[in-house]
Amino acid sequence: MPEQGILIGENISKHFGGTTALDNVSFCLRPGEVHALMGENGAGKSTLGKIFSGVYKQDSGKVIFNGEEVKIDNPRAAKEIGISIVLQEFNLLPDLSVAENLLICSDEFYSCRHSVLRKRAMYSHAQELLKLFELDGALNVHDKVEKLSVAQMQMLEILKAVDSDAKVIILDEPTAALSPHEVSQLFDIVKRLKAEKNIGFIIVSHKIEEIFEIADRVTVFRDGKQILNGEEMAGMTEQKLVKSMVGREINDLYGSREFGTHKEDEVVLEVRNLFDAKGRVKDISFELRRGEILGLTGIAGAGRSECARCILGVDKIKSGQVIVHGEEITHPTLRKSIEVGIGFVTEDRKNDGLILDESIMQNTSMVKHSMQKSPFLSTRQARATASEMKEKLNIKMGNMLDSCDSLSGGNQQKVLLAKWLTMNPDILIVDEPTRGIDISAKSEIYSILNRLSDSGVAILMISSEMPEIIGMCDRTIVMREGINAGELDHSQMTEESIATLATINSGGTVNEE
Amino acid sequence: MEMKKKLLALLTAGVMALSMAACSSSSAAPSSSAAPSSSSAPETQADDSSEEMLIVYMTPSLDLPFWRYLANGIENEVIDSGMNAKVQLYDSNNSSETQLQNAQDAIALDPAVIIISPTDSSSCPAVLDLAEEAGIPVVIADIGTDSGKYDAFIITPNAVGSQGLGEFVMSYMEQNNITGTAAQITGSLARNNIKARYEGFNAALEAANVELADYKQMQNMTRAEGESLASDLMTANEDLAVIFCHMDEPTLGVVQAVQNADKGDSVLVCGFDGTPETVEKIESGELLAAAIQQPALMGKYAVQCAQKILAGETVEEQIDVDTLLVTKENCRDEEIIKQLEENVFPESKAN
Amino acid sequence: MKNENLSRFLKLHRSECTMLLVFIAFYIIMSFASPVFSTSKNVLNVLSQMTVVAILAIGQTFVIVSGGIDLSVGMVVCISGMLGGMYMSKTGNLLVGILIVLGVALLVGMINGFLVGYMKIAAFIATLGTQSICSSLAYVTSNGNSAAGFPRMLSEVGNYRIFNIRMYVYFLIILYIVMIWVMARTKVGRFTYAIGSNKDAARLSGINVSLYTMLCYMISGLMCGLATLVNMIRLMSVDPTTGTGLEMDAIAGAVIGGVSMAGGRGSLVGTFIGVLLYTFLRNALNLLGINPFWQGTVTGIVIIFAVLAESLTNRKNR
Repeated sequence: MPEQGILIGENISKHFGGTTALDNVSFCLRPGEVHALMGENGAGKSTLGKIFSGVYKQDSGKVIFNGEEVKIDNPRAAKEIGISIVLQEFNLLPDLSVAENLLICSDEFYSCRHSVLRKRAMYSHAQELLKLFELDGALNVHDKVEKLSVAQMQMLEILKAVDSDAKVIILDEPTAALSPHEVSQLFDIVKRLKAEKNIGFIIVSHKIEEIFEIADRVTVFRDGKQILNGEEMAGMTEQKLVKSMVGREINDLYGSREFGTHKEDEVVLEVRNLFDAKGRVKDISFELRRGEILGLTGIAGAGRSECARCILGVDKIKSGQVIVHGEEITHPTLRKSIEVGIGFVTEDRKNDGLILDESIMQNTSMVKHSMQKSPFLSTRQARATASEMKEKLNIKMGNMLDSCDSLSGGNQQKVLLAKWLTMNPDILIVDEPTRGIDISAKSEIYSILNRLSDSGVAILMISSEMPEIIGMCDRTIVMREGINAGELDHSQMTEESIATLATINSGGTVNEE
Repeated sequence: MEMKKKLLALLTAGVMALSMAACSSSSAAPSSSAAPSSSSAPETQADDSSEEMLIVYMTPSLDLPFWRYLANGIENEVIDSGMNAKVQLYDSNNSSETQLQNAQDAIALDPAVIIISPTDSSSCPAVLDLAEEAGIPVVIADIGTDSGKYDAFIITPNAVGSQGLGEFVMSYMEQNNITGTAAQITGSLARNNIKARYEGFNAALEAANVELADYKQMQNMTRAEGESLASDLMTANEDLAVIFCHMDEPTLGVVQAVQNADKGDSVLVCGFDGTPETVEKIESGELLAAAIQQPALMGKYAVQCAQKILAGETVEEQIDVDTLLVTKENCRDEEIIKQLEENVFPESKAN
Repeated sequence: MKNENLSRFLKLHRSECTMLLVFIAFYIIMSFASPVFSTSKNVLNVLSQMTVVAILAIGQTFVIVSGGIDLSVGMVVCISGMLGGMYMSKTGNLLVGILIVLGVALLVGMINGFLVGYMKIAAFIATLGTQSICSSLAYVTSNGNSAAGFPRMLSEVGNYRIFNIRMYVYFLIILYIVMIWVMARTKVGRFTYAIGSNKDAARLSGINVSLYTMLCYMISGLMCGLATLVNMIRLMSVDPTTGTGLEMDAIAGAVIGGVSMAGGRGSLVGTFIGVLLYTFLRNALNLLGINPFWQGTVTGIVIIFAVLAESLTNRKNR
């Protein structure tokens, strides 16, 4: 290998059972560069990251670090030689403070044979560390970690890695749960660290816009095979990148929708002056018409999901009215909502959407079963429903008796959608319908939503991804701190107009939260 | 592949654990009959088949020393009398369900005789029915049964024993001018023998005009339970002068509670049944007296009955085994010491 | 194609298959170790011995799969048997006595279910509370005495043998078939799995989680009632210590059979095999003449190994 790299993987393969996660791939990270590892879900990008950091072991191939071949048996071994990974699930101690999380394992802050903590020294050193990276504004050494935001935790994880003298830091989907502002903060730190400390970063991601902003080079996998190997980002186009990830060109991700054609249609859902019991939703009113797609956006914590949960009666309402087909639902409960024809595709398919241990068939029929009167279930019917939905939504599955666990994220999302389509809803509330799924699955979900709206289903789409809102919605409501910050027609929607409403209040000052 | 190996290893380990336990028992159990069979092998072979006979003893719970001593008495008598027999213990763990399951298992082995100390007189008939169906003779050692067919019943006249104990305590109080009320810590009053102890002691109280202030039923029959019940009784009854506890282990707990409360002079403790520790406490004066049953003697009689039944002789249907009244005065008598060692808490000769 | 179906079946029912293999291995080894072990008489004995725990384990399986635990079952057997038994021996009215047994057990199950499902009290605490209450009430109502002298008909019908097999063993088998069907093909059964593996997702699918949680405990209560009847048939007496420790036997049986304490996983077939293994193990120890002091050690080791084997196969599966 002529390339001078700090971390090199040569001809690495990895199998999980019968599936090939990585097929003879090579990779080279130079010191002080940001190298993006891209690919759709299941392409193998996370697997390579995890092999480098000792979470998995490769079946064949070599890992070379600093010019020497190394065997990395576990994450601790990786850390000792200078490779740190920041996973999506953080490895922090929630009950301890920021300083303790940073330095709890450093022997130098213990006296008397490493048994008594030198608390003051620890906190002042932690403070210095924060200052060094200009994070003393964002983090307080005394705060308990459980009180931190996701972005703050991520910075803390990176700081931990830096403090342990990491030469290579691997970030696994670092921006999945961050707001645009937080993303730019994160990228600032990455840029500083690569320039000042010559640390090499591997960023595992499938968000194309971000990669153009931060990465120097990119490696793309598809189905475990290497498509691009360390291409410079300088000459890269978005189209080329998408094509290499997806394997085909995707021209119109969102389909060709005619916007604003439903202004005169029947109002199927009306919400008036909705307040929730916890004070997260304040005075929300809107109308949703037949066949319309209405967006509900805002930054995380603005109260979008809470608003939907109130409408459906999952959370308690303090005051306000929910009117469906002209009739008010008093004391809404989820079951009442389902009875009048509202479906609710939840945000988090793993935690409150699907029952992953259960079969695909059972999951598809879950809503239908919960609403049927008879206590007896028909397997024949469930089977028929599942295969009908499989056809309709193009769900790729081995067997409908397999557990939902066995499906990819995109197909899980389709099962979640299918479960609600079995009740033939008039109104469908979808919460982050494309979170964490790859581009081709995204485009399929969009076309399903478009088909539904064409057939007259009114859709309330909650999303934090602005391109998605702009590409799909006839109108959108932007929420900020629980209030309705403004409503935009399709023609008025731009990323700027949405972001302005989402973050700046009417006084014109930047909001701290 | 690797998984299969692990599974296989696990299985083998499990089976080994089982067979180890089996070995430890099979090496211990036959030794109970090893001595007689080696010394008297020719004669047993002469008058009987060479087959070793099986005697099953079903005990309510081996946590209580009393039942262990009874079991020792049975095993020792089998050895001493030179029977070619093996004794197998079944522990009911104080549960009538387990007792019945054990009885089923035991009968499947076709034993020569079953000696049973039932968990409860009402649970015994179910076992007796099974034995009758299988044609196996049954000797009941203690507790008794509500109904059913059995061949012999060995019992301590509990009422007599506790009344004698009560009379001794009453006369002690009179001699030492102690006045006050009495309390009892009883076993489960569902049991006939416990009821008899309760009533026998009350009879002595009535005769001496001493009031029974309170009584408490134990559930676990442990030292800790005796301790906590006794301290509650002392708190609730200022003028308490006597505590009579129905069982050996809890009695020691009662002694502890009285010592803890510094009432060693004002509260007299007496108990039923005993272990070597009980005798020590009597000797030191912390425990006034105990009416001690002779479990090993009961076991011995049970085996003797079984031998007679197997030989076709008739046996008395009920055999009484009196209690020994042990006090500070007589606890050093040679006669009492010998009786205690042989008939109450003997060492097991099996090991 | 056939091969694929077989491998899917094995994958779906891995823990049941593992336990079945363990059981068969155990059975074969024991058949060599003890000549009495595999005789039909002994097998029938074991079947009759396991009936009470096996019935309780049905209820326990529902509750554990729903993500809870029912510690009260042993004492429910006690209180329902005590009340029903006292009535029977006083009046001689068998039918009303049976209804009292079932009614009391169902009532306690309902209380458990209400506390856990609607009041959101942790199952461990709620059922520990009712356990204590039931035990105490059994002493109160009986004054510490045992109840016996039930109508002979109870024992005569219950112990009646067809092909040398007792009626209650047939009842056990029929009950298992019915409950396996309930678990697979009715709302109660499927929703129990759904609630146990993901409560939030179940609720957001429109399932009335509180109601179906309560139903699980009611099923457990009803099973206690049925188990009590079998226990009364077998013993013809009830005393205030009846049922002590039965809950642990039932939980052990279910867990050995692959029911996950975390909820959402397990089946009645597994539970049946678990209880069978557990009862056969106890039986084998008795037949081998193992010192009672050692029996707990052996049982404990086997439980741990069985569950370990099961969790290892599952780990591979994940």
